[in-house]
Amino acid sequence: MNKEEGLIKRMIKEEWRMHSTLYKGRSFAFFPVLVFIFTFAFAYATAEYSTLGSEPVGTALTVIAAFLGLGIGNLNYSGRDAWRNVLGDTSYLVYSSRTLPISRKKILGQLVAKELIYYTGLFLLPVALGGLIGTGFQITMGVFLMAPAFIAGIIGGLILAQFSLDGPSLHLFNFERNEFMEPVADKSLMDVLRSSGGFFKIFFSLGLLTAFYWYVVLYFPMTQVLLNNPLISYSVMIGLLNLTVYNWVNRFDGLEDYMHLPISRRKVLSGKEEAYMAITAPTTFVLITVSWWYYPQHYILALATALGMTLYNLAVAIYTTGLEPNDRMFNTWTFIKYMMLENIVAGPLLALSIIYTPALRPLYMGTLGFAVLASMAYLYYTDEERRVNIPGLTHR
Amino acid sequence: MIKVEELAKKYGDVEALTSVDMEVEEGEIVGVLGANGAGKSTLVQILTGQIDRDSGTVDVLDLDPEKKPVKLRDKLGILPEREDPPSFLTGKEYLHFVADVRDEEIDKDHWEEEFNLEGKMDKLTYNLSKGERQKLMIVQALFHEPDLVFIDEPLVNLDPVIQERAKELFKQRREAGGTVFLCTHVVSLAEEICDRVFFLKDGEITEVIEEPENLTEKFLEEE
Repeated sequence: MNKEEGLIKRMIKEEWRMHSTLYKGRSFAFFPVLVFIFTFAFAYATAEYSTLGSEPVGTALTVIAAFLGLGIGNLNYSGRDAWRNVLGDTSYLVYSSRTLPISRKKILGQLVAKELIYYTGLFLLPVALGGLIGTGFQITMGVFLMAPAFIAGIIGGLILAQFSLDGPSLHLFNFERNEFMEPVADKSLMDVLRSSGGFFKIFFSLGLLTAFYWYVVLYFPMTQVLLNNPLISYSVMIGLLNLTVYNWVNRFDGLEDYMHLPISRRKVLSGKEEAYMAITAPTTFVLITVSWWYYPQHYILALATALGMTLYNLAVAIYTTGLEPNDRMFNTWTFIKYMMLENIVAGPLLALSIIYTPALRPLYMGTLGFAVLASMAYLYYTDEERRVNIPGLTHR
Repeated sequence: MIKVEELAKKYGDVEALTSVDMEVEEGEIVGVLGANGAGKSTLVQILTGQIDRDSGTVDVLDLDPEKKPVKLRDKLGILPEREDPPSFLTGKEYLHFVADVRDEEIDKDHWEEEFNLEGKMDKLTYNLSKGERQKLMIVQALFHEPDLVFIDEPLVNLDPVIQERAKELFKQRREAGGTVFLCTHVVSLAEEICDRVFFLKDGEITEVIEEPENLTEKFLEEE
């Protein structure tokens, strides 16, 4: 085995051990199984019960592969940060490799190769199998295209990352004492803004998805049969996708980074909540407004839905993952719990949005109102002592 | 100022502290000397309310760290073992951040001069050297002139000139009536500035040296 192969193998082992140690092995080993079950269910239901048939499933799988590749290509963002040793244990081997006689370029290459192998096994293969079996092997072309889409995604992600690296300085804002935000919120915003890719990485991921959604809605008449009001369905989706923002505001530090200061766990959490809302509220507003421009219906309801779901998503993310969403969401049971809690509100809202008519408005508003009130109650009316059992808040 | 009785702490099956008893008075620099893994950092984390103990009683500045961790840390200065301040803030911003959390003012110019940080404070902290980051962490622990300072391995990355400066600051704290609680495995440091030294081995205080001299020999005997 040569030096490079050894490094990739050890990086894979390191990542697997990190995840499996965190989730006691068996639980994490179920993750690909869960991905398979979800994909299978989606593919089977679409092929058998929708008017779409199986063909779009193949397209969807190809697109998923492209997006996964794009994400890995964008690793160059976090790869740059990993070199600065800010990702903690997750970048341990990359960091220690600085002392080995191997160039930075090569190590980043190894890192991408490692992610490629790791996530192919963990995600891509179960998705392909779930799609194939779910449609009775009718989407072989879509599955066949997954490999080139995946590689094209990686290349695209790397190119975009390079643009960002060579772009102008992202130091647009400074940390200043102010009366409006918690210091932790300020700091978390700075972390997101100044980490590789800046706010662009958030706009990029949400914007791409927005573009894809409206492309399908506006140019595939088939969706009109499924969606009575696509803007409202879209707003539910955006609320759910804002989970990525909660991941970002928690990515660069942990509770232990604040423990030498006179700051309570509750304050750290409040700061993260504030930072999340400070990013998601304007982003959501812009995305809904732009979408409304192309699909001018029910703007206020869509905006209220997106913001309400954004809040509900925050409450569920905190309840299930505390201040460690990036790690804990990989735990199968945590993920199931998160999905189930999300679906208490997202399920009915999505169903109602799909068949939406003005007559359904009271039912719809009732569900949304419940989500907002439940979130507010959880986020603001539970005291610190009752929050002790929140994951990640076990430090004092 | 600090009173600890039969303090114990386990991490899973590993006993970090088995039974620690100690008392620390006002206006002294005390050292806790021990090899790697002796339990020094665990002791500091319990005394500053960062982690909970399993058993025993702890009183720091008349507060139980487990019950009033934030109120206690408000009165303390803490220099943790890790030297890294948050990476995406500049040095200046990090000190503003700490001052903001503590609701105190900081004389940034004074500290810049004190630690030769001129021209460095506008750089993001990940662009600073380890020693410069360590200096920032020392500043955040001392700028508000706390009555009690906990220092975990303070001088590891500092050049000799700054090491002397840091030692001088710890002594100044003592002269002002403050107390410095210093954990280290650097015997010469404990010998030079500590008024008393506790030997920590396998999670227990095995000896208290009232006049720290010839510590290297004692340390080797202990180990």
